[in-house]
Amino acid sequence: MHWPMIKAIMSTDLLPRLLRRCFWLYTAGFCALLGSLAILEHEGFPRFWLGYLFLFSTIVVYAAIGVFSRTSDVDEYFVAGRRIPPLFNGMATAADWISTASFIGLAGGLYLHGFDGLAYILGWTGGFCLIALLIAPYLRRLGQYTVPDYLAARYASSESAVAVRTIALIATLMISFTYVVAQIYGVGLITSRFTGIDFSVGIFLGLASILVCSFLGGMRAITLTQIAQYVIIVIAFMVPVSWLALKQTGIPLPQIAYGTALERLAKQEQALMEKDSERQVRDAYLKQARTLEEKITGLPFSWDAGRAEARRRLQNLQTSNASLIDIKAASRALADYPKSPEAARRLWERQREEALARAQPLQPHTQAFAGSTPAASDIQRNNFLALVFCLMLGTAALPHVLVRSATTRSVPEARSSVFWALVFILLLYTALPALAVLVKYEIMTTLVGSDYANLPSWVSYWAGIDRDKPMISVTDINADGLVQFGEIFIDGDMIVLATPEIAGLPYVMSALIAAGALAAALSTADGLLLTIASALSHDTYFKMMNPRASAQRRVTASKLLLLVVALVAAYVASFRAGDILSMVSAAFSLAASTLFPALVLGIFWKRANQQGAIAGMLTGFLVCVIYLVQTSPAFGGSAANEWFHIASVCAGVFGVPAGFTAMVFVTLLTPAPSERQLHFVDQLRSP
Amino acid sequence: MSPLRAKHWQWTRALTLTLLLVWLLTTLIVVIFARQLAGITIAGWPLHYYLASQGATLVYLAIVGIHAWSMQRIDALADDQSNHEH
Repeated sequence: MHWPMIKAIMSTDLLPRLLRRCFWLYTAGFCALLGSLAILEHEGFPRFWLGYLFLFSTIVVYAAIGVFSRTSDVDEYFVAGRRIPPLFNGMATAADWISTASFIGLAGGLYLHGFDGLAYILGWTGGFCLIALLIAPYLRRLGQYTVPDYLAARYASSESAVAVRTIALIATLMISFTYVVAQIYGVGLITSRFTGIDFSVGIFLGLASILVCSFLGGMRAITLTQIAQYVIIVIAFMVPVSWLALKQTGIPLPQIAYGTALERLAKQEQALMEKDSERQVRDAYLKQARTLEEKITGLPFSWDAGRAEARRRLQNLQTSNASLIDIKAASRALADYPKSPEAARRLWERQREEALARAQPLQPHTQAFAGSTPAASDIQRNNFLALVFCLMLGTAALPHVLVRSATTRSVPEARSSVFWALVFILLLYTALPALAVLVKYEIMTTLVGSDYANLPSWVSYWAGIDRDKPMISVTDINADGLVQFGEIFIDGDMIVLATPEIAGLPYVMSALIAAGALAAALSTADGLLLTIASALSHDTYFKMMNPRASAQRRVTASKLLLLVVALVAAYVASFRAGDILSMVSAAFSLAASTLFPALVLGIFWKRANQQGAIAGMLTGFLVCVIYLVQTSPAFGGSAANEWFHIASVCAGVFGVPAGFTAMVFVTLLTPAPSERQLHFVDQLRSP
Repeated sequence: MSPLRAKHWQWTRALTLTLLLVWLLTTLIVVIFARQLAGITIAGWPLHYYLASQGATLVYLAIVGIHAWSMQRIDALADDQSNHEH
């Protein structure tokens, strides 16, 4: 892009040095804050205030960065002036990438599913190979602001590129919006949990800090904040995990320590598997499942009988002068009783599934593709592979990650920026499986076997946060007064946040992890919101509605849109739509099916033309959406409609080949691209 | 397109293809042979678990690193030769 020469020289020379100095100052400052809070805790400062102090001081820092780097220059606002050094750009990309799903969800998935959870680790790192090899350098060479912009420039025929731009725009908006809703949901979860404020208030508090930052400073402020947030993310994750690793294995580096930890975990699992009490628990669940099965087959009479039974029990308690607590419980049971036989069927079927799942014997953590038969195991393996590829191709087509390559100074720097991004991401991702193993061992040795009369305090704390959907529940189903592993139900989302408490670390570590999770959610939300706003202001307003809009107007439009999108996203998140994680996974499939073929063939196949791109994007999109709707229970489908037993999250496995095929066929059936377009591709490929 | 540019693109394409192949094979081997590799244990690590949680990701990092470095060489080579021609 053409910004004044002097500015370029100034920036290339001074900015890295300035950045580096600020970076070290800031990191030292954060460590000092951590240290002083630890001392405060030691001196008996109330925990409640400690959490507040920590979360709010980080939010204030983000907002301050936004205020200091405010700008209304177009290049600065959309692509941070294209002068971020690769190392720092990589760091910002890493923060952009590490979302609540990575920080909170991944370790939880690994804890619950063991080896099978590693699909996310593979998919979310392998995707960066595709970004570096196939997309980022070429996107940077072209120097556009957004992904739809790039596609329109590549495929535009002489008349216009409205169709390509519109489809790419819609895909970008859908993908980024589902993603940003999940982040804001995460923000609400974390702030409400650690400060005790209401969920929806938490959402808007977090939102305020995102807005101050991206509203005032656009990409420039976001990049600087993301660098700051990465530091917090990594310290917040590594300090407690290293502590836990040191405590359990004597090696402070979790990435190395968990080889030993895995060995000990396997022994502990073996011991638990052979225990009689664990078998009793499984039998109890099996019995529960059978009872429910009988009730389901007995519908609708069993529904009537159950309601009458609940009424009778309440009456008996009332007449027999029972304790108030018992009466309350009985009347709640009656109030919660399913309203119709249909509702009862749904509830009981779900409960039966849960009981059956818990009646399964313990799976060893490192067991790959568990299945009762070789064929079932093969289905697991195929799903694992399908998920890995969907996540990889989806990663390489996520607009908010791709746009990060535009903020570097040059094409070679765009390449090394991806390298640094992967380094910084791996720092966290290699420690995540370690955390899952260490926490699992901790639970198996300290919580399992403890007395129901004195459970650790964190159990009741996490169980009490949401009474309707407890994060953890332990029920003494075999009535022996001791906790068995089979009796523990844990929601994966609490694993990371509760790690310090589970391991018995000081409270300041809990606050630190919360600050890290908040940073992860905010940094991703920042990048996503700007991607949506610039897609709307640049691609819709400037390129399609008002091509003569001044630079000033475009930035103003983007700022206003950012505000609107943020509020809408917060509003949607405040409904707490339950299945947000499956929606995020669906976003990956959608990105892969819609954008990946057009992005890659646009560079590597000269013959690809506009008609082909339109056909490819539409076909990929439709196949992916149809498969999702048909097979995902969250969208009203059923797993019975699956093709080759591939789960709905992996819809991209069908969408991507469909997109590629449609694109190639339609391209070959329609005229070759114009001389101008061919020249354009040559430009893209030139050194 | 000048012959030099064509050559530059040829090298780029060959490099990209090779690295993509490494990427694909790494992923496929780690996933498809996970059950067979599970029997081997090195320093407490079951091999399949190590590969999927760290080994493969380090290969990915190497791929990106090698690509960035080699592309710089290829760019420089094309640059050198074009200076020679003038």
